[in-house]
Amino acid sequence: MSVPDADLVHQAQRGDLNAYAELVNRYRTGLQRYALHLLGNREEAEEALQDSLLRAHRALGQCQQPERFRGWLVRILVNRCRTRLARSAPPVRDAERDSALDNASVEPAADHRAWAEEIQRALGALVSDQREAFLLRHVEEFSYEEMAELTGVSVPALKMRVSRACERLRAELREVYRG
Amino acid sequence: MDDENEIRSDPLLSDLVSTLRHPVAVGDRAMEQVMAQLRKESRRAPWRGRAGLATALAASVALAVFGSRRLGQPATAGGVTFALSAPSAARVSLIGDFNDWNPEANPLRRGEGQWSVTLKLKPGRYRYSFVVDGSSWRADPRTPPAEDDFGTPTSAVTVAN
Repeated sequence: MSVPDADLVHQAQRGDLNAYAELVNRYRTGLQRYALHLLGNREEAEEALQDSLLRAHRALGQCQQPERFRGWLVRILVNRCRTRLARSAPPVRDAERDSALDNASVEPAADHRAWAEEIQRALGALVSDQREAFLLRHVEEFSYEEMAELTGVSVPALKMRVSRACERLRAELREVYRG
Repeated sequence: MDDENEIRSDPLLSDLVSTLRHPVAVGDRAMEQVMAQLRKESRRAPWRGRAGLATALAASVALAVFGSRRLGQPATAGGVTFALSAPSAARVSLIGDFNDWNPEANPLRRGEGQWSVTLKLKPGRYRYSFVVDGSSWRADPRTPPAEDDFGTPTSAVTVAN
């Protein structure tokens, strides 16, 4: 049986780097995925991750609910990603840079990579707050109440963002999707 | 219909979400650099922990965290030679705790049959790995297999006084 997050957080707060590494390792898949899909660019995602993990470690003493460490850590990443998006011109999304697809039709089973690139392009077409809400809800599977805590946005507003994101993604991908 | 059912009932959105949930290979090196930096800070300022007993605890962690792996030849403070046989490689570099896992810092030189570089290191324990042709990480085959904080194969050397 694995050690509860809260115990690891307490150990990490006392300076145990092993405990912190274990905590990060538990949630790394979601962190990496969120940063890449939100920012759409590998270098930006790596910098956001690095920045977030350093900040989280330095702020461990402020983690008041250690049993909810995942949400606390994701909130830091969400904020770092927002800062990066707001700071300057949007980075070139990898899907745009690498695109060899143009308007070709794509069958997911036949060409998974091309489908993934189309998805990145479609995500890039969303405004960032819709992309953020969609990824947190449907990819990272947070509840709306958790999302409201993470983002500081009300539940009704988040629901609207997710709904609009779904609508836009359907419109962006309908042409190329052959389910 | 709640929005989870909306996703499930729409093949396009269902495929989209399923694809997006796949793990992505991004940020492994960035995460490793974070841990390297935190370890360095911990050695430099072990009192940073929250509790009063943090000093002793952090000091013991710094020694115990990453286990002990010695090179085939015991290393000394005079210089440690890192070597790798990679005949088909165009370039090889050394990354580790001593250079913040920066692949530009310590390139290896091609010699007879193998690549090598010698570094002067202070006594202590260092984790390291080789980067072949800028992308492929390789542990040192001369040391017992080990893993870093995130499960990536790596190596460690202890430099004696």
